[in-house]
Amino acid sequence: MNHQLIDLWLHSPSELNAEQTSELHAHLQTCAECKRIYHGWESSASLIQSAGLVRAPAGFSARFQASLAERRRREHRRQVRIFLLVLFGAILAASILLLVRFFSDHPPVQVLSQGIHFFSTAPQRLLEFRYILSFWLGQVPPIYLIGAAIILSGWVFILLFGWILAIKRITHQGVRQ
Amino acid sequence: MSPNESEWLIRAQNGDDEAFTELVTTYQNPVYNLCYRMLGDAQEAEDAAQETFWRAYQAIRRYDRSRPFATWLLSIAAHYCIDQQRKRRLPTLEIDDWMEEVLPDLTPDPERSVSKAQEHEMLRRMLKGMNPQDRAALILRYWYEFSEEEIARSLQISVSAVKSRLYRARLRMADLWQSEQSSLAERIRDESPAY
Repeated sequence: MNHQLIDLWLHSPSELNAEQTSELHAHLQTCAECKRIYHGWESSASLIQSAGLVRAPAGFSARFQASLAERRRREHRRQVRIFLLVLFGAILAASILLLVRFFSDHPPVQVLSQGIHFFSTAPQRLLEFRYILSFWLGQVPPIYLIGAAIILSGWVFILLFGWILAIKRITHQGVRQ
Repeated sequence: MSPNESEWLIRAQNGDDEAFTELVTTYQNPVYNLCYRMLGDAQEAEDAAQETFWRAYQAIRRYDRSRPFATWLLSIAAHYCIDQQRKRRLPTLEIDDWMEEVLPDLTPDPERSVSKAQEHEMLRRMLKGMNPQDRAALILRYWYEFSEEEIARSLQISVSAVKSRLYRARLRMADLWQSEQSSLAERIRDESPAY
């Protein structure tokens, strides 16, 4: 009795040599269990062979093409959401860290008293600041003031434009993987 | 791989959607067949095949052109189908729907058509009776004639694991075949007027 041969055959059906094959067939005459397995797999294999490929339904690639734009939109929206979540998460984490650091050096009572002091003296400081500002601006020729205002507003405009452009690009195209 | 396919691949990797659609048209049948054999349901197979191509589309830039494209694509499909089956149990397919979708009545001999449909339904039930990993190995081996090394690469397992899976799959198919034959014999006996 050699039940191992059926195991060997099941492992690699095409790799049994002639001697092993004839030994297996001789064994199958006497062993009902091995014969059952042998015929079971032989029949299954021929069933698989006759089955062939199942064809994709008509219009499959057209449906894929049609869904591509929508899938891309969904993916971009997902990426934008992830990007914004990460960004806000990072900002939140950094803020919490800074607050923790700040309050570890300055006790809340001290911060509160300093805050009250600051706001109660703020009108006086504002008056002093306005006085200093008007004094120095009075010393500068008007042409320089106009030039400085143009340069400053130019930079603000460039930064604002770049920021809007970046947001628009992320919204429409998503973040590259 | 044909020269056309190589060109489509290069173009698809450079972001050409039309070239990718050509690849979809070329490989839709093998991918759909794998999904159908894995899932046993026409609608689920279509969804899985569409998802496979979408995943391939997203990852096409990372595809290594030294590997056969079919192996890479079928690997994505097999992994997706295995994951789907892990997530839930498959619903039973109605035989009438299946016959309508998969086997349109084109043959002139109705008896032969019914017998063929019964065989296909039996095969579907047998495949469903196996575990998804073994089924994937069996399908890649016998429908796509992948070598054990190719199956190992596709399923990202070792060659010895592929051998074990194929062994288990053949043994299970042999058992399922016997069960199918027994239930068929029982049905014939029950339907016989002599009983």
